[in-house]
Amino acid sequence: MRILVVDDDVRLCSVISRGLTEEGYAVDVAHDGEEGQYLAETHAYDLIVLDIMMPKADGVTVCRNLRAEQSEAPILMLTAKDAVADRVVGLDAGADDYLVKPFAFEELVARVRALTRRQAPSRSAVLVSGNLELDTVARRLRRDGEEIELTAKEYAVIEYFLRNPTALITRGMIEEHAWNNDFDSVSNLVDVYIRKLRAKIDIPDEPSVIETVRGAGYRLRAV
Amino acid sequence: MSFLRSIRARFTAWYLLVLAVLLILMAGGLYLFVGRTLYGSVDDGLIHRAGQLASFRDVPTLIAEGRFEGAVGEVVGFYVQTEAGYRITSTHLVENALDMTWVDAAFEGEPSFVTVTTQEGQSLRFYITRFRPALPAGSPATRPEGAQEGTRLGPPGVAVSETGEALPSPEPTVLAIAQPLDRVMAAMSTLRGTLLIAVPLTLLLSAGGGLFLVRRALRPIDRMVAATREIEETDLSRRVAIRSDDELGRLARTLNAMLDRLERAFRRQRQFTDDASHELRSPLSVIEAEATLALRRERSAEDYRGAIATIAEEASSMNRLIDQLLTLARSDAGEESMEIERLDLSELASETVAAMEPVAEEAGVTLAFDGAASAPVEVDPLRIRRVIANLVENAIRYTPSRGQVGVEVHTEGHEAILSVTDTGMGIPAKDLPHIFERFYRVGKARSRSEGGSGLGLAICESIVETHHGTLSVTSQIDVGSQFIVRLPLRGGTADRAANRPTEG
Repeated sequence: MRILVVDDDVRLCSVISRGLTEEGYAVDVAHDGEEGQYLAETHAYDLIVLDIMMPKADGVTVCRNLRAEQSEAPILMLTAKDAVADRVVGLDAGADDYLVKPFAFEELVARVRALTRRQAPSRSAVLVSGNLELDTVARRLRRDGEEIELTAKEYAVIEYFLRNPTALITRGMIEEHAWNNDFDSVSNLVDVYIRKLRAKIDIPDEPSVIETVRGAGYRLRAV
Repeated sequence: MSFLRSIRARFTAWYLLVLAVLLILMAGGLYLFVGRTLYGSVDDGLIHRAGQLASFRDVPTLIAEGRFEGAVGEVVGFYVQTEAGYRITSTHLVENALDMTWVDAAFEGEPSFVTVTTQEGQSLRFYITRFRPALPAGSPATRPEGAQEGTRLGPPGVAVSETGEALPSPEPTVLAIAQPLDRVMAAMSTLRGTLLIAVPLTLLLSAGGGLFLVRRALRPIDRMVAATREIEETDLSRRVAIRSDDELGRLARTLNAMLDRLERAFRRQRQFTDDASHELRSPLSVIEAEATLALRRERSAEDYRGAIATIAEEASSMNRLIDQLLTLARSDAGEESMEIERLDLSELASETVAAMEPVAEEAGVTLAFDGAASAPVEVDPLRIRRVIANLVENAIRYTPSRGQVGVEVHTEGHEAILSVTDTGMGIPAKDLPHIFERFYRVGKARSRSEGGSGLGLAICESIVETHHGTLSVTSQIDVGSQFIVRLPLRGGTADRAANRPTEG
C-alpha cells in the first residue's frame, strides 16, 4: 500500500511518514499543494493524506483538481479547522474522510485502514485465500490457523496479492504499492521479497501460493 | 412599538400645539379687532346722530307731539331735570331701561356709552350726553374773536354754556340716543361661529397633513431600521440601501461606512483567531502524533529520546507562540498598560544591539551600530527594546553568513528615526504589503520550522503604533531590506541633540 502525505508542517509529515512506514505502508511526502498534486498525478497512490491549510495550493483545491482529473485514490483530509462548514467544504471537494488536528496516531492509522479497505474488492478486514488468512487490523498472516511472522515489507507485498487475488501483478505494480519514491527500481528487491515470502508461506512439495507468470510477473494461485 | 412614543407622534403633537396657540391668538385678535371696529362704528354713528339732532331746536317738541321721524329702530329720548326729578320725552324709550347714574353723569358733563338689553331681549347701544342744540347762524351768542374762556356772553335771559353754546331752554337736558345692536351682534356671532369651526378644522387637517408628511419623511428611517435589524454580527456583508442626498442619505452612508469598518475588523479578528488556532494546533498535532506513535509499541531508548526531543521542541515553540500572542494582545490593549519613560532612543538601541551581538556572531553576520546623535523619546523601554531586538533578529536570520546588519539612529524634524538595514535575501515585492499582517510568512522558505511564528513584525508594528510612530520597510531581492521605525521626539531637545556630535 502506497500513501502520499501532503502537509506544509515538516515535522508533522515526518511523524506521519515514520508511523505509516512502521505500519508497512510505503510513504511519500510533499510539503505544499502543488508538489502534492504533481506526485498524486504521476503515481498510483492507494491513499492521499491531505492537509487543508498549505502554501501555493490549499488541500481543498488540490482535492478538487484531483477529482476533476478522475483520480480515484481515497483522500483523507487533515484539518486544523473543526467548524462544520470547513469539514463540509473538504468532503464536498471530494475527500473521503477527515481528521481534525491534533489527532492520536491510532486514529490516523484506523482511518487509513478503513479507507484503503473501502477501495479493495473485499471490504472485510480479514482477507482469505485458500489456506491463507490475513487480518489487516492486527496485521497478522495465518496459514491453517497458524501464525506466520512477517516483516513490514513482506506484509505489504502479500497484502497487495491478497487484495487483488485474481489479477496479474507485475513487478512495477508491487514496487508502486509497496515501496516509496526512494526505491531504486533497477534492483531486484521485489524478487528477493517474493522469494522470502514463498519460503515462509509455501508448504514444502506443494505448488507455490505465488505463481510466476513467465515474462510478466506474478499471480496468486487460484484455489 | 408605541405610537405615542414615536417621533412621528411627538413631532405632530408639538407642531399642533404651536399651530393651535398661533391660531387661537389670531382668531382671538381678529374677533376683538372686528368687535371693536363694529362697536366703534356704531358709537361713531351715535355721536354723529347726536350732532345732527342738536341742529334741530324743536326735536323734543316733535317727539312730544309724536311727529319725530327717526331712523329704523332708533330710540331718542330727552331727560329734562325738574324739581321732582326728570321729565322724560322719548320716542319709545322705556322709563326704566336706563340706569339713572348714567343720566346723572351726563348732566355732570360726562357722556357715556351703555349697552342695554330690553325686556324684549333686544340689545340697544345708548349714547347719553348733554343736549346742546346749536344756535341759528348770526346769533349773538357766537363767541367773538378774542373772547375770554369762561366768560358768559349773549343776550340777557339766554343761558350760555361754558363752551359758549346757547342752550335750547333754561332746563338742563340730557339726550339719550340708541341704536339696536342686532346687526353687529349677528355679525359677531357669525364670526365667532366661523372661527369656532375654522380653528379646530384647521388643526384637524394640519394634524392629518402633518402626520402624513412626517410619516413620508420618516419612512426611510423605518426601512433603515428594518435593514439594520437584519444585519447580524455574523453576517456584516449587508448594507442599508438608501440612496439620497438628504440627511437620511447621509445617515445611511454613515451607517454603511461604519458597517464597512466593523466588517473589516470582524474579518481581521476572525482571520486572526483562525490563524492563531491553526498555529497552536500545528505544534500540538506533532506532539500528539509523536507521543501516540511512540507509545504504540516497545521502542529503543534512542527512539524514545528522539520522540521526547521532538515533543520538547514543539512545546517550546508553542510557548514562544503563546508568549507572542499575549504580547500582541497587550499591545492591542493600547497605552493603558504601557510604562512610559523618557529616554534616549540611541542609548536604548545601542544596548539592545550589544545584547544581540552573540546571535550575530553565531550566524556569521557583522552587526554594526551607528547612533552618534541622541534622540529623546517617551516610550515603554521594554517594548521598544523588543521591537529593535525583533527587527535585528529578523535581519540576522535572513542574512547569509558574512553579510552585514546595520542599526542606525538619527533625528529628522520632530521624529527620531531608527533603521535596521541588512544585506540579506530581500522580500519579494508581492509580499511586501503583507509582511506586517499577523501570521503572514514570506514563502515556504520562512515557514514555522525555521523559527518564525509570523507574528514578529505584526508585534513590532503594533508596538510602534501604540507609541504614535510608524514602521515601514523597503526591500530589494538579493540586495537586502531596510526597516525604518519613526517615533515622535519629545521635549524639544532635538536641537541640543543635533549639536552634540560637534561638541564631542
